Amino acid sequence: MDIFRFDATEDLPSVMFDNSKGVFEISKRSLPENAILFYEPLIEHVTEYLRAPKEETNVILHFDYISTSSTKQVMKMIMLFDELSKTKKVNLNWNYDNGDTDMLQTGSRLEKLTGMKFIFNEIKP
Amino acid sequence: MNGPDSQKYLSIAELFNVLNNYQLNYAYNGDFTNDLTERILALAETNMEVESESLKIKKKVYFIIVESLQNITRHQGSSKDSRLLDGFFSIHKFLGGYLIGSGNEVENSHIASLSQKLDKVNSMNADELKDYQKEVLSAGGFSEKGGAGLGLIEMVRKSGNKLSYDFKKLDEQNSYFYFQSKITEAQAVENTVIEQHNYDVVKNVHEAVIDNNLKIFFQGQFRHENVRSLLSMAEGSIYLTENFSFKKTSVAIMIELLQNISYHAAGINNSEERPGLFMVADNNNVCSLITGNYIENAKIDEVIKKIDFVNSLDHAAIEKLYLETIVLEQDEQKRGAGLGFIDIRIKSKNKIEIELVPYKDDKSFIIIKANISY
Repeated sequence: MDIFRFDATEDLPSVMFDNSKGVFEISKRSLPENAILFYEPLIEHVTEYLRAPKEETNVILHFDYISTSSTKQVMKMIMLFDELSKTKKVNLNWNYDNGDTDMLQTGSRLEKLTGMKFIFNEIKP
Repeated sequence: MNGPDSQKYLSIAELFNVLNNYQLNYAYNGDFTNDLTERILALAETNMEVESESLKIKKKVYFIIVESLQNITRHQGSSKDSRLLDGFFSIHKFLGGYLIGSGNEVENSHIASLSQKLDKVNSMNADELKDYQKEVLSAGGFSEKGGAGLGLIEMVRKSGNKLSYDFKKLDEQNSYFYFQSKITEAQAVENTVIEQHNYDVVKNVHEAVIDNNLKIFFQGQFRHENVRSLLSMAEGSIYLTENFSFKKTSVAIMIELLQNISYHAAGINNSEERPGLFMVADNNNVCSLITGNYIENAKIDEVIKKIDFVNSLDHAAIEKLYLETIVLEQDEQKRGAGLGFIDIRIKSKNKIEIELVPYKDDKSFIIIKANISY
C-alpha cells in the first residue's frame, strides 16, 4: 500500500502519506480519544516505508492543536525519520500558524529530543 | 446586585454547590452569535444522547432551547459595555424533566407588551392555545423584531407548562428580562429545589454566575463525544477566541483538562461513567479554566504530589521534565502520556490550583484550576 490517507474530522488530523513520492503530511487537529490506537497504523506505514525509502523524504507537520498524548506518538514517528536521516536526506518541516508560539515550542522540544534539524515555517493566514 | 442573598467570592466548591442546588447542567453568560448558538445546540444534543433521554423529551427540549436562544440573539442589547447587558442561557435537569432559562436586556418601553403576550398564553388551556395559534397564523402579524408570538404559544404547547418570567430594572432605559420554560415528561415530577424556587431559578443562577464572573458552566458526562462538543462550544465563545494567542493557549489547556477527566475520572454508580464539571471564569484579565471530577481517595496523594511538583519547578526545570517524561515507556493500559499537568503549567505560565471536597468514604471531588493571564 503506497498511499495512506485519512480525512480530517473535528478532532482527528488530516493524514496524507505517499510512499512513492516520499511525502508524509499530517495537519489540523490531533485530539483522538486514544492516541496510541490512532497513530499505530501511521507508525506502521512509516516503518514499512523505511524498508525501501526514497533518496529524499519530505515530512510536513502542521497542527492547529495537538494533545500531549498525540505529541508522544508523533515523537515516536519522528524518531523513525530521524533514523532514516542518518542514511538518506529527510526534510522535516514543522509548520505552525503565524503567532502560535505554543506550537513552535512543541516543535522545538521534539527537535531537541531527536537531534534532527527541523525546518520551522511560520505560516501566514 | 449585592443584596443580602448575593453569592460573592465563593470558592469553586462553594459556587458549584450553590449552582448544583438549582440542578444546573449548563450555563453561558456573554455574547451570543449564531455560530455559538449552533454549538450550544450541538452540545445539548450530544449530552442528551449520552444521557440516553427518550426521543420525545429530546425533541421537546431541543425545540425549547432553539426558541430560547433565538429570543436572546433577537433581543440582546446593543451595548456590549456592561456584563449586565450580556445574554444568559441555562439548562437545568431534574428527575422527570428539564428547565431552560434565558436572560437578556429589554427596553423598559417593551415590558408592558411583552408581559401582556406572556400572560395571555399562560392564561389559556390547551384548546384555547390551539385556536389562538390558528388565529395568529392566519393574521400573519409579526412584531417589529420578527417574532409573532407564535414561539411563545409553541413553547407552552410543547413544554406542557406555563412560562415563568421576571424583569429586573437596570436603569431608566433598560431592564433585564428573565425567562424560563419547564419541560416535564408525563406527570412524574419530583418535588425538587427547582419546584420550590420555580419563579426565580434563572434569576438566582444568573446572579451567582455574574457575581463570580463565570462565562461557561457545564456539568455532565465527560465521554469523548461530549468533550468534543464542549470544546467546540467553548471555541464559539467570543470571549475565548477574540485574541489569537490567548485562544490558542486556552483551547490547548482545555484539551488537556477535559481529556484528563475523560481518562481518569471515577464514576459514581459504575466505572463507565465520567461525571464532571467544567467552568470558565474571568477575573481582571485572568481567565480561569476549571474542571472537577470524582477521584478515588487512594489516588489523591499521587495527583497532589504531581501538581505540587510541577508548580515548584522553574521554567528550565519544567522544560527538562517535559523532555524526560515524553520519552518514558508508556503503559499500554494508560491512554495519557503523563504530560498533561506539565503542559498546562508551561502553557498557562501560572501555578495550577487544586480544591478537594470529600464526597464519600472512598471518593472525593477534585477541582483543578488553570489560570491564564492575558
